[in-house]
Amino acid sequence: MIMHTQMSDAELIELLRQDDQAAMREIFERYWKKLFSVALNRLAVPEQAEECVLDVLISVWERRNNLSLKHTLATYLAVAVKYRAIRILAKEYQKGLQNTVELKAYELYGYDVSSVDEYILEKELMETLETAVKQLPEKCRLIYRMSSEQGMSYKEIAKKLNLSEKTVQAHLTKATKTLRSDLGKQYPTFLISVVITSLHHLS
Amino acid sequence: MAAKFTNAYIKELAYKWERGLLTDSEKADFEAWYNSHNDKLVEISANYDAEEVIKNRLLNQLVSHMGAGHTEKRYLKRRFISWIAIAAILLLMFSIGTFVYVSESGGFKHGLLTNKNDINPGSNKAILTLADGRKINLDAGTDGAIAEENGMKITKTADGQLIYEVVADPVKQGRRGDKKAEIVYNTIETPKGGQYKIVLPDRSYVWLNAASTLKYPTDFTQENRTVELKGEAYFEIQPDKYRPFIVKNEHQITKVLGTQFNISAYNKEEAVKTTLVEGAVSVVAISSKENAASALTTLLKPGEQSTVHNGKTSVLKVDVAPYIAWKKGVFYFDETKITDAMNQLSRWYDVEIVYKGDVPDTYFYGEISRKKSLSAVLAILEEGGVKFKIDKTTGTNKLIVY
Repeated sequence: MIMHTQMSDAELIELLRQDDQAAMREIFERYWKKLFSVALNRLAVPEQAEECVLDVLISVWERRNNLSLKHTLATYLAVAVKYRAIRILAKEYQKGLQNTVELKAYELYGYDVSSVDEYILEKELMETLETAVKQLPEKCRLIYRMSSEQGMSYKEIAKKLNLSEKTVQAHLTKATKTLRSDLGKQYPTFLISVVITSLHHLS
Repeated sequence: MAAKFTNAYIKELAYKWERGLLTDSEKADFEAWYNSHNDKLVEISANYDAEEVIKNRLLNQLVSHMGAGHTEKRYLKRRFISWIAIAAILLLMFSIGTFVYVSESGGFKHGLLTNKNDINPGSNKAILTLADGRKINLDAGTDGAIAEENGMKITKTADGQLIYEVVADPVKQGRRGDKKAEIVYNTIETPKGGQYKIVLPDRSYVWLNAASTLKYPTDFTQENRTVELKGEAYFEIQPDKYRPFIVKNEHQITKVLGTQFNISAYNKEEAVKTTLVEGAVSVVAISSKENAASALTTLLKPGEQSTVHNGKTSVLKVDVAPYIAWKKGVFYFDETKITDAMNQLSRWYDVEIVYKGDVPDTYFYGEISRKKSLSAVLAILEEGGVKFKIDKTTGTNKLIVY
């Protein structure tokens, strides 16, 4: 029987649908440290970073019956943590605002927005990304997937595909450019740069 | 450049970014800060816990969340903690041999109850009525697209959400000013023991509690976004400065631009309570005597709750937690009167409450998952010194309190 540690993210996600807690634990093992780094880099407060990571992982578990992530789990998690970090920062600022006697005008008018909901993030942004990746030329797509989803280095990819590192780099640049342009039609540049920088599977 | 990125400044930028209020130079700063992080593994300060400690703490919380099936609040108030610990132990003793959960998944699967005298908790149940009168049962049946109406695609998901999406149509460009565009309404109604979440065409979210009805247009084309509510719902409204969001109720009109709040307007309870979590809303009471909206508009700030009763409005500062707990899947009691607690149980478990003798002068404290069966919840509440009995002998299920 194949161990959870040897399964791909897509396989683990499939197991989550069957309420497999061990699959969720494996996802935790793979990503917790990296996600914690991502959160801590932005929040500076370790307790907040912990809560940030935990909330994102719990959200994945809670929506396990309806996830469409498959190949993009790594990217999704990184982005979700980044957004949640922004949410936490924004909330802190808001707390400060409420303590001052004079609230700014937009506060009074109820300008408020819930955080980029993880559901929307997954269903919209990730699905758009997935579609765009599928449309990359074959070699380009293969190399992109190896890099962003499997976390392989240029060297490793070059070795596996019998190409030069320079070629691998060129393909990746092309992939990034194309994806940026594809996503750019629907989303602001900020969101895209967040999504394109990838999260590497710790091996 | 580094000096600009103080903690305080970044927080301000984050806040403004969420609301689309950044100036161009602020946008550049925010992006620069955001992309400046090298997300290779970061070093945790020596003053904080060791890596293994952090890891185990996170893993334990994740595992306990998955296993328990309900959300453990990490900031439990001090006076709750020992109380809930005792209740948990008692519950464990009570549950062994009494009933078995098949699985406590997010999809509200019903546990197999070996004790027949128990009542399952509510679940994602509702009936959707389309504009042409067709009724669709939202609990049964397949997930996925369930209807397409008037340019809107309606999708039902496995986890109890109803999503409205505009079917891509370039012709719709001019629709805002098109007064000829007919407004088409859908209604979603939850029974007792039901709940549902709706994603409206503007991506606002509405969580509908048990025994509630929401009537809404399938697409917001007019100058405002207006819905009608009976019962209780939690709203997370997308900001749109051109189109305020309005919630109409028999007794109250609520107006918002973008915010999170809960409205409880059950006829049985006579007063309409609006609890504001974030943002700002204005509340206008409707006096049934004059059958017109009063001239007085009350503006709520976060953490405030308005009560509208007989055309009059009063405002209190509250801890919002008890009022929005249902949306998070828990009952949250904090010096809650027994009658209020029983009303909540009545709606979620679809039971009639019967008091044997006088209503006890009891207040409840604590947080209990709404996924638990009724007897599990009662076992915890009995700690408060009240006795309960579930009576399923007649046609309607009754909960007897004495």
